Amino acid sequence: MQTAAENNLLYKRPLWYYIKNNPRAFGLGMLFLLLTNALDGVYPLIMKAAIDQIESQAPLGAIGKTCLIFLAIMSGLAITRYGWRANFGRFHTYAAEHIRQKIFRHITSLGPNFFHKNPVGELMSLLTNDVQSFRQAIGPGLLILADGIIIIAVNLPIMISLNWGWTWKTLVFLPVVPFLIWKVMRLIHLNYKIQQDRFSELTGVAQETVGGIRVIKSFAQEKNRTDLFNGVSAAFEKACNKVARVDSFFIPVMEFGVTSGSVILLFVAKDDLYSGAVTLGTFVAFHRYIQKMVWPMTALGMGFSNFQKGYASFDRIKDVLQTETDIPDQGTINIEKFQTLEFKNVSFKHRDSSVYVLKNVSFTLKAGESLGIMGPVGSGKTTLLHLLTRMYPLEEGQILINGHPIESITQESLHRTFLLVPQEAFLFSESISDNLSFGLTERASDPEIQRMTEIVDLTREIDSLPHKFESQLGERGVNLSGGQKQRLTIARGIIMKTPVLVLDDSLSAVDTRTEKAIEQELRKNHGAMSRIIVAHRLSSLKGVDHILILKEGQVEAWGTFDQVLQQSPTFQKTVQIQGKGDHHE
Amino acid sequence: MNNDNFMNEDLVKTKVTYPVLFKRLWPYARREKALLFTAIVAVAGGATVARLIPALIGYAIDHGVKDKDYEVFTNVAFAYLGLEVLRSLFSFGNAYLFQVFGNRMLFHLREDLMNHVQRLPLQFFNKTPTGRIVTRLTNDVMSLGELFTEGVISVFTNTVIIASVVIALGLISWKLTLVSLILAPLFIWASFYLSNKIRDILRDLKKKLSFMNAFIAENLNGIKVVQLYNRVGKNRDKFAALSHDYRDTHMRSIRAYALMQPIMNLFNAVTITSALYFGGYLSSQNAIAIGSLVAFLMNIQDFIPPLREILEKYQQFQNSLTSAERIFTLMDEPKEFEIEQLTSRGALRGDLEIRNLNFQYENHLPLVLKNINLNVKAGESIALVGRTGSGKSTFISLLQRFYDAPEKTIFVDGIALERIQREEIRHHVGVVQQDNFIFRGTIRDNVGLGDPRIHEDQIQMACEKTGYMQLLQRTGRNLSSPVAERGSNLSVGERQLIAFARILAFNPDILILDEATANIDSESEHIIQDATKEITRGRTSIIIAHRLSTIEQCDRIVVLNQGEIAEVGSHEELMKAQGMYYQFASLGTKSPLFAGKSESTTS
Repeated sequence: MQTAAENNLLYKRPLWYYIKNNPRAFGLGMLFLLLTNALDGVYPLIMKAAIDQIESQAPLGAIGKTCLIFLAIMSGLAITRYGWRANFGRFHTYAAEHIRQKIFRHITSLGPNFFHKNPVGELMSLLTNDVQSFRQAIGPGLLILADGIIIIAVNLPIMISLNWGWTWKTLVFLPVVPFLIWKVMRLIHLNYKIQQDRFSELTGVAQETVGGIRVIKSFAQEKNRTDLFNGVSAAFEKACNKVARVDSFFIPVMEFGVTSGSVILLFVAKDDLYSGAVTLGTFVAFHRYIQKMVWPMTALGMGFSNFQKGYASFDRIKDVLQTETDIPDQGTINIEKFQTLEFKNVSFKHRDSSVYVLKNVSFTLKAGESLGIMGPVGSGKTTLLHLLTRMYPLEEGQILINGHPIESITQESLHRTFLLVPQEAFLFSESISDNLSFGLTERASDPEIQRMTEIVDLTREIDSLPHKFESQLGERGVNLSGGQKQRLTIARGIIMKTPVLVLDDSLSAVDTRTEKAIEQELRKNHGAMSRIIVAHRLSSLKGVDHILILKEGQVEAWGTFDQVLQQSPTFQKTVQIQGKGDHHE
Repeated sequence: MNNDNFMNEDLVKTKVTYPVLFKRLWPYARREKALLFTAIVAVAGGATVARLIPALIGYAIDHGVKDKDYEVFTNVAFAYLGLEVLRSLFSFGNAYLFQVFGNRMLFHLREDLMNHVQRLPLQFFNKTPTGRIVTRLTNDVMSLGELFTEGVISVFTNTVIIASVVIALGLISWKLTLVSLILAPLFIWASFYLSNKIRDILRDLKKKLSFMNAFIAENLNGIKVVQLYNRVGKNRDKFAALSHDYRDTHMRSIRAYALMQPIMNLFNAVTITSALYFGGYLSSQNAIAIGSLVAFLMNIQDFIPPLREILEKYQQFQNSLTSAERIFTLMDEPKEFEIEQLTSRGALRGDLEIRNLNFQYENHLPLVLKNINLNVKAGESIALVGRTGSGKSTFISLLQRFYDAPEKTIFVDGIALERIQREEIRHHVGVVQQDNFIFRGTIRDNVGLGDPRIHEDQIQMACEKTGYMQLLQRTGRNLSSPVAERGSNLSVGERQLIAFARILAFNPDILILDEATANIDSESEHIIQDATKEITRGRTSIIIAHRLSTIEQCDRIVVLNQGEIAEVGSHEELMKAQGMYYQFASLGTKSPLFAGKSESTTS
């Protein structure tokens, strides 16, 4: 972990921060860059000397010597060029790695509030595109900027010493080039964004066509769909062409400076050449130097544009890194043995909202007791479970575990006491056994895995897979149905053997037989394990000790099945619809 | 689910090499011949102009400076200006036209691919994840485009430039050319060797990047689970390892690229040095004019950059060939096929007859439907009941020809089903699925599916008859109200109603309704019951029913058990018989027929 002072420096002066942390790579890179440019600046002079020697019919031996010097300089260039690339490369790849990991560590510590505000797509883009463009800025961007400045600093004096008059006359248009390049790059960037938008539209239509293929085929809509797709496809093509058009300006703009310079040179050099004031070698060398000025001018424009983009990215990165968690893990208490859970006048509303999701909820649950929660959509069931697992900060009321406020308990210990199996079945692209062992410190034993899948009635399905438990899930692996996934997540929860298993409507994916098996498994461990479930089916609520009926965030009823049936109109209505004697056995 | 439902690897069946790629892209390229031709002219023009410039300067030196001819020099300056302007034009034209050409080609390719995909059999979609098919249509086509515009075109353009340089050099002095380029093969070999290395590293890098990104995406999407299971620490360590690994591979690629530079530099040094030295020698023998030597030196410096470009681009895009392989593998996937050219039949009455139907998905798999015999008169409604896996879904898939039943087992109006075109039978047989796909757009789009044959008043009427219009009005919406992706802003009940309205708008002769088991809010539940009556009225209907109230409305009930018809009859008859149906009806939701697993299986 880093100190606050270090973070401060990083946020204020990222470049300086990374130079300080990797001075060797940066220093060596700069040194080699300087050497490269020095040698690069000198070699046309040697060429000039050779041509002058040839023109003046110097002896072949002398020419040979000049050629050897030329070869030596070029060989030196080979080494220094490798040197700066390798060292600078180290500088920016290490910096990018550092910031990438810092972001990942930070966001994995943040709660759902943060993820509501920042969709995963945007965070992905932060970790890939923004990190990339930050790297581009402090790596290649900085490099070409430095390169450009050094080349100008080396070349310009040489040109002036060759011929002052030629220098200012030929380079008069050059300063426009960086500006034009910057402009073109901005246009490219702008249009590229449009192209990206069109691309997501294209993906959207493709996605819906493939996803809804059954409907499309059922209603014989293939041709219509293709027409629709062609529409967005043509819009994308148009956007691509726009980028291509701007992009194609790049090279002509880049060459504009040198072209104008060379043409001017031909006009202004004529008199000096005729009068013999300037040698032919000087003319050729000077022409070469004009050509050499193309790159630094382009580099200034490009480097500046890179920097602009990189710093915009860094601002976004900084914003995320400076987001403080709203559920700081500052508790010190570890729950050794779970005894009681108490909700005391708990009310909750989401940030930026004035509507209460939960109002004044109170109840007490002892170890070993099970609880069923029921209520219409939007009555606050899931929120209650989220507060219990402390995914949101509690502002009104108290949640006490063994009498301790939830905030004083370490997150890890809290999760080891109440394990929530969320509504949406999320599995990882790992093997089935790895997924089952997700929360364990090491992979569960084969018999244990076997037993778990039997409980959730998945054994038959898994046995029919080519690699059984070792089958990979996800894009590259097998595709499980929604119900199968849900059952696997339940098994992943049961295997943890936490004192309380919290199931958020996960049981909707299992039949009554499986439901019973799960219940039995939880009972088995000397009654030490119990469950809190959110359910829609009455059958799921059979055999729980308490039922909590929520309506519009408030407790409508609390008690046993029969008690609740008397008190709660919501429950009565449910029994009416689903019922037909379903519960009496 | 049958057991070919998994694919461990994305099998690439179509191997693509450069010749294959050109052959397969040619049909698309041919449609834009004019564009292609103009682009090639621009490349050739650019290369020619670029070679004329050193020649011009050489000429200026030999004839202007040496002969002290003022006129020549002024003319040369103007000519030079003209050439540079031309060069800029060609350079812009070449870059732009090729990209426009490439984009056009990709458009055609996408269209073809989309057409093809939609005509693939349903089995294909059952065993291929949606994301994979979408990637073929979008990202893969795009990277094929990159391979084309940045790879193929760059190689072509630069080869032309190199050829023009060599020709220009040879024209000035073939002896000097030979001497200067004598070591070229050695350097080219060395750089090819290195760029193969680079390609391998880049491939590795790309793999590691996508691995890392997949890890990030998964951890962020599943952040809740990661945090709840106390896995944050462990996953951070895992990420650190991936991130380090990526960085180190990135460094390797940078170093390999950096090594390319010295090789090119040395190559450059050797050619220029030898040109200088032997140029000096030839000049002393008066075998070459000084102006020509200057032109030669200018030309030879243009030899290396295009060569480097080729080596960098060519190898880099070799990797993109995999995209082409994936695209053409999909393109070679066999479509739903018709036995022969079938003529269209016009309207049907809706009589349905099934004779001795046995069906299995593949030869080695067990029979899903066994000895089914059933007569449904036009306008009659049938409730199909049975537990999950009893063959209900298979049965309806056969009626829409998503799978082909054995010949002469299913007849509509006395015509064997396989004698009616797929597209046509799907017009006649309409389906409401349990979980209907809802498209992004408006409610109108979802009812009429954007089909130009469905008019506004048909959509209006359909929505009114199902009672959906009233619901919309009550909630202050109308047909143009937006529908989010997958209909996420609509309730389950509303999505059902849209599917019902769709049926009324398209007005098929035969209706298949797979009733939803999901929880529907009581308000919509009511409307849906009425709407069910509305859409089945006077229409041959087969309903996979889960609610007693729906079943009771049907004329006859067919009980399926393990692929066989167990009981047929009206509600009263079957209740009297006290068989499976009786059990079902009396047990209500706890019945084995209503097994509670709400997943819908497609096969």
